[in-house]
Amino acid sequence: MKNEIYQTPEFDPFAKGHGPNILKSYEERIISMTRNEYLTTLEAELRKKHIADTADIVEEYEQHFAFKLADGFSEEEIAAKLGAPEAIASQFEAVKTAASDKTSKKGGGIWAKIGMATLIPFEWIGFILLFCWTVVLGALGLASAAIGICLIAQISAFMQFAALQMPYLSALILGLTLFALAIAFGAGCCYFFAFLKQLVRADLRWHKNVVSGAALPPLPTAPQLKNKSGRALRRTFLISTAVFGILFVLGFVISSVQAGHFGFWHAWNWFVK
Amino acid sequence: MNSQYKKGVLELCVLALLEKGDCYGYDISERLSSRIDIADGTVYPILRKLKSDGLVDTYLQEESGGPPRKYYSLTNLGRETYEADRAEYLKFADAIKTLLGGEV
Repeated sequence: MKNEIYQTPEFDPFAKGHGPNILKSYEERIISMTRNEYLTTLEAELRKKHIADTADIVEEYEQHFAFKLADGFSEEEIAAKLGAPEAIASQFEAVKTAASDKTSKKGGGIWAKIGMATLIPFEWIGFILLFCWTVVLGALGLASAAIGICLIAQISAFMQFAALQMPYLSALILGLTLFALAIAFGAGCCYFFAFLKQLVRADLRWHKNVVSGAALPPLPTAPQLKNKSGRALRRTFLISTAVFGILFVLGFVISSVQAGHFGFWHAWNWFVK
Repeated sequence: MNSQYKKGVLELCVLALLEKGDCYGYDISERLSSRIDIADGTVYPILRKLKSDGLVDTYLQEESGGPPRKYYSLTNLGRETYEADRAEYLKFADAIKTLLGGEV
């Protein structure tokens, strides 16, 4: 957090040097202040320093008194514990200066606004494409998983429909291969979804900053996965891809041996209707 | 303890309290001053600063028998800032602990 306001000496009630001394001398002076005296002084100090929403601020201190009185403290005790009205007003003044420093960084001019508005359709075409890609990855994952399950479980309706004749060992390995592929697709889908989400958020933040001069911290565009889930996702993807590769080669070899032919799909009359 | 140490972390403490749930100003001031020795009145300027930075928002809520209370709640930006600053501060505090030699 930027603590710029603490650097102004008036705001810092703890600063070495004059800070605590000021507070102390104030405290000694206000020890006998009643609720009304305190609030009137505070209001006068705030007005003197041209602080906005004075009534609002005073009301909050009024409520503070109300709560404390209900707890059985005396008005003088409460006033002393609050700190000197002058010091409080200075702290509000420091906030005001810090805030106006910030807003002096004005928003972009009319051209910046037009420029940013022109960008929006192109950006969103990109976002929509990326979203479609995410959906495709998810669909591929689901399809692979479905076919994998059909092969492993030898669901007869599917086997007849696809007319893929093969020994069960080959079907089992092919099914597991597809299953590994499905997991890899799923991990990819999750990753790209997180990426898209973060990209949109970062983009919105950027637009806000340029157009209104909000000076909010820019957001990173890389997907913000928690360390743990990021690692888990990467591991899942790597392992499932490796398993896919191994099973693919294994399946090819075993099927070729069983069919006695390198093009086992010819021997088993696949893709021929 | 040297009061210098307290400066700068008060904002973070306020954010931490608000992260657990919305509070009204007096509530925050009480919970803060029960643990840290500060003037009660210091909390309100901090709240105002957090609001002007867009880290917190306020809303009024009716209470039975009394004026409506002004509640403070964290904005999304406030939450983000809190998470980041908290991590940063804890890392810093860890380093100091190591440097001072020994567990507390």
